[in-house]
Amino acid sequence: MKMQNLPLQMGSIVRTWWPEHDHRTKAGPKFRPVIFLGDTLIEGVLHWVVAYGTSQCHEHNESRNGGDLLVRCIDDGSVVLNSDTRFDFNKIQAIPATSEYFSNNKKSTSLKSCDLPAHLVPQAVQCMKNANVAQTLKRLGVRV
Amino acid sequence: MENKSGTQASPPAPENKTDQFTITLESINSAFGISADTLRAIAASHGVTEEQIIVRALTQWAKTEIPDLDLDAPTLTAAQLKTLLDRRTNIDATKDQSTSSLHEMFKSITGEQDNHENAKPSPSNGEHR
Repeated sequence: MKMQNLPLQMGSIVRTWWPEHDHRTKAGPKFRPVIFLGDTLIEGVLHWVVAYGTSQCHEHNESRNGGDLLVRCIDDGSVVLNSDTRFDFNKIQAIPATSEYFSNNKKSTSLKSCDLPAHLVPQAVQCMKNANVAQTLKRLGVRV
Repeated sequence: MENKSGTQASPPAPENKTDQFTITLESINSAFGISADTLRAIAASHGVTEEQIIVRALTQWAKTEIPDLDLDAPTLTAAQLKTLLDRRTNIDATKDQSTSSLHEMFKSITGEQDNHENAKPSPSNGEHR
């Protein structure tokens, strides 16, 4: 089922059953926080293009090109995000905007989201630049 | 208890506040919070109710939020309340500032990159890449 048409904008944080590497067309086992970057149509189906997030914030898991952004749950306004989260702009996927991928029970069409804290926006942009997100979005057909 | 004049102190005026709160947890764990099952498991591991474990968690967090919190004192001090209010004020001030959205800043950066790419000189032999 299609997710409800919410006013998501670049920087909105939602959750998705992130597809695993070897099963990209199937919802994965973990409901991960992701940063919404835009949407695109793939074979007529609306996809949300999102950057990978994880609550595992160990330094040895960080990418080496500065494409990681750490959002601490104590950052202002983010009372929805209850765990420190590391977002990796090197890992971007276009995922069908359906309840199978974006709903916690895989059935509901309602979406829980929060926004990237305003004071982290400049850092996020730099991370996106380091990870060459512009080229990735262009390749996926996302209009910025 | 009676005050020095022998008359009982009048109770404080009733305020429109509640001491009961309802929380709704999701069915799964995520970065947005633990699940109801996880709460039940943690409570059961301590042999207490879910309400008790929530109060325990909140109390521990309050101690990190308010370093000089004295749980033997019945209420927060004026200074402690001011510290909490100051944080709220700072957060609101940050939000009120006209800051560019991620989309706007990203577009300006990609625009700069496109200009830089277009500014590259063409090869002297006339070939196009």
